[in-house]
Amino acid sequence: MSKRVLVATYQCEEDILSGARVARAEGITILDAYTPYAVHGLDEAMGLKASRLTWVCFAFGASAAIFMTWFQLWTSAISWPINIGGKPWNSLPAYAPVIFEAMVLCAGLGTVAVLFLVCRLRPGKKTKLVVDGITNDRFALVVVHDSAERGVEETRQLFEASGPLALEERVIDEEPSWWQVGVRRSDDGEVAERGWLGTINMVLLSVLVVLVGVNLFVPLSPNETNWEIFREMMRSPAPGALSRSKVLPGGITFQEPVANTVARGLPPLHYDASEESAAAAGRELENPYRANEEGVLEPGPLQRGQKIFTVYCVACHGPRGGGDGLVTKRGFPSPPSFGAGKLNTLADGQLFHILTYGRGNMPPHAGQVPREDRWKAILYVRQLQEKAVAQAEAAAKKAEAEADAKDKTGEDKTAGAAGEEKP
Amino acid sequence: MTVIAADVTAPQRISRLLTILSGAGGVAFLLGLLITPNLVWPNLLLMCFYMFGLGLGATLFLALTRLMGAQWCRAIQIVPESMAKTIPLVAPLLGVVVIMGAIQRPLAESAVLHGESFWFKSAWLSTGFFAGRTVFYLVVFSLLSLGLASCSRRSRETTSPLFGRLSALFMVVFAIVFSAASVDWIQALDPDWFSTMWGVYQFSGVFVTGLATITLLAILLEQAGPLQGILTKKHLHTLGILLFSFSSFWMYIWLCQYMLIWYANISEETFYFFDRSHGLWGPLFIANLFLNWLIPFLVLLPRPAKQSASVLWKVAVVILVGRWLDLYIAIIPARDAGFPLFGFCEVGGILGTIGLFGLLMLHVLRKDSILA
Repeated sequence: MSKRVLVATYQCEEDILSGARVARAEGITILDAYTPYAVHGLDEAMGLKASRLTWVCFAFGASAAIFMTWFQLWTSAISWPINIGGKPWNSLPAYAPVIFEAMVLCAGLGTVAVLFLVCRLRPGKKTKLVVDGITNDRFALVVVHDSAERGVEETRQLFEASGPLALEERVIDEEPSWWQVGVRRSDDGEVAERGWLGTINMVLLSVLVVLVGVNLFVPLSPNETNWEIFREMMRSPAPGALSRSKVLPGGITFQEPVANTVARGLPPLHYDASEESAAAAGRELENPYRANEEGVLEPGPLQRGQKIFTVYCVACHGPRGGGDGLVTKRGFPSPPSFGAGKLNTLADGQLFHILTYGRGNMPPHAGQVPREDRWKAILYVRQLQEKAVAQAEAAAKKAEAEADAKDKTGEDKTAGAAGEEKP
Repeated sequence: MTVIAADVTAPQRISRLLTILSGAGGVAFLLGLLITPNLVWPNLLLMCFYMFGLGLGATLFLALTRLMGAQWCRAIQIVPESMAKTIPLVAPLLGVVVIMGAIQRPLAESAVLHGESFWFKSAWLSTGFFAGRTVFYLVVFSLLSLGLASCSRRSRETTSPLFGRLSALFMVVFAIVFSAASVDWIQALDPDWFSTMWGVYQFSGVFVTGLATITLLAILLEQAGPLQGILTKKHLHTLGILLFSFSSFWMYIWLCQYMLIWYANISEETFYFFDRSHGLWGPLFIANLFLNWLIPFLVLLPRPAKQSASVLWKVAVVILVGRWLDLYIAIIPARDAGFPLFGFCEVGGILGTIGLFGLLMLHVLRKDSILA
């Protein structure tokens, strides 16, 4: 499609304003106005409606703000709650800057993108100046010159009043649509060939884009992605704990700790498995879990000690520490009973030494039971000992009482017998 | 609008109305003295600082537009000029109120109470130094605003480099002196609290209310006569853009201050916001954001709204109410008010502010024979 137009060139902005007003008053369609800078009031003079781009801008901004609010809520409170400085997961003040930035970015870039699309601007587009000098000091008004209704001379006279520098009649082509890349023009600007070549090229390009997209995003195996967006997040640059190393001694990344390294929370124990060392431990070490000044012990450590005892000690020592665990019934030598003899006289530190380094048939338990738990187990062992001792005492008393009673009844009997004998 | 227009077109009537308002404010204050005496002083401070801020915002507008080389504001220049001329009239009132408060309840003592490490603060807030500083601030602002107003007036007839130089000087002086003044007058009511955003926060409030008052008065004067045929849609559009952008600027600064304190979570800082966002203060705290930003932002977003006088004057009123609430939330809780109480003092303060500022404006406008 081609159009016949009239191009009016002006020297100053007042003239183009009056030219535009004339055109509107006479009902002549204004195609466009070209000015070196934004002329105030030209939009009104041309009768332009308010741009709908503002709504595009608003829609972009609002949707970006809403999306970003939801996205931050979802990431930091729903999908992967992160504790940052003890703040609530859903912390609106912290979202505000990101919402704001995303809103401004989307509104700005989106509006520009839509503007380019609407105006058919694209990188590399060759622009044709309607009049030389509209980027410098000239103003140009392009109106449709409809010769059917109004004669050329008549229209020309209409515009003469607004004082144009030049009035020129031209025939212009409609812009080819954006997909018609292969349009060829002859030298005088006429379209010589509006081939299908460009359209085919665009289709092929779209197919290529789709294929590349499919290749990038559809994974071949569930464990791997075709496209690693953040490589350093997919593959750690640091070597694994037990991987080969060319620089480190031993050819492996895992190294012995430096001599005298102390594990966190575990001050070293300067003891060995000897008798003297056990005695020293008895003198020097104290159970950190003691009853407080009022003689009250917190239930937690004791319960934990009981649990440890049930897991590790019961098999040999028996449920009450009587030395009658299951293994003793299969021929394992019986350990001494807690309630009797020498075990009562041992200090907590000595018990700890036994648990840590072993004694006689008892193997060391330092590997299985953490240090704290050993102390807690000792706490429970002490309780068992008290019960066992109390039981033993009670049993002894009972036996004694029974013995006394026996003696008495014996006396009575003898007395009775004597009485019987008396009469 | 038509009601206001009808009133404005008869300056004698509006003058009587303003006198009645001032009188009502005075009576309410007397009642407040009897019923809630501890709220009288904070409301007086609020009222004076508010009025002072209107003048300052206008002076800032004069200096800023001059430095930008803006020509559009020539049409409405009489409005900021007249507002700037109220500063020397409000200054003595503000000075008396501030210094009276400092004497009655020395700030330095409450600063000392809470720890020995605040020796600098207690020295800075000692009553004599405080009063001296206050007088200095007020004198500086009075002189500069008078100078700028008269320069601006003369610039319509002759061009002189003095206006530009004075504007540049005012910008520098304003940045420093106003930061210090707002910290002294308002922030120091909580001597333990501190915010490095306070100066710019108060500046944003002062400027947006200055713009709102300029817009409102320009529309009123257009109805009343002096600006008839001068104030066009384009001026309104520019004023609307400025209102819109500086309302958003206020919100931006408000969030900067709030978010930093909220994030750092240091108890010396957070108590300020804690006191002001809990209990009955909570709804006011939220309403502050609505009045000062959300409503103006949403209303002024479309272009036609920025060009419409009937929309603009309503938005200006919303912003002015928002500013009052903003200062109310800042000042009242610092003076032992456990909950917001809208009593005689508040009503008196608002009526008195409208009446007194209106009378001052009327006085200035009549003196310059802009109004009959």
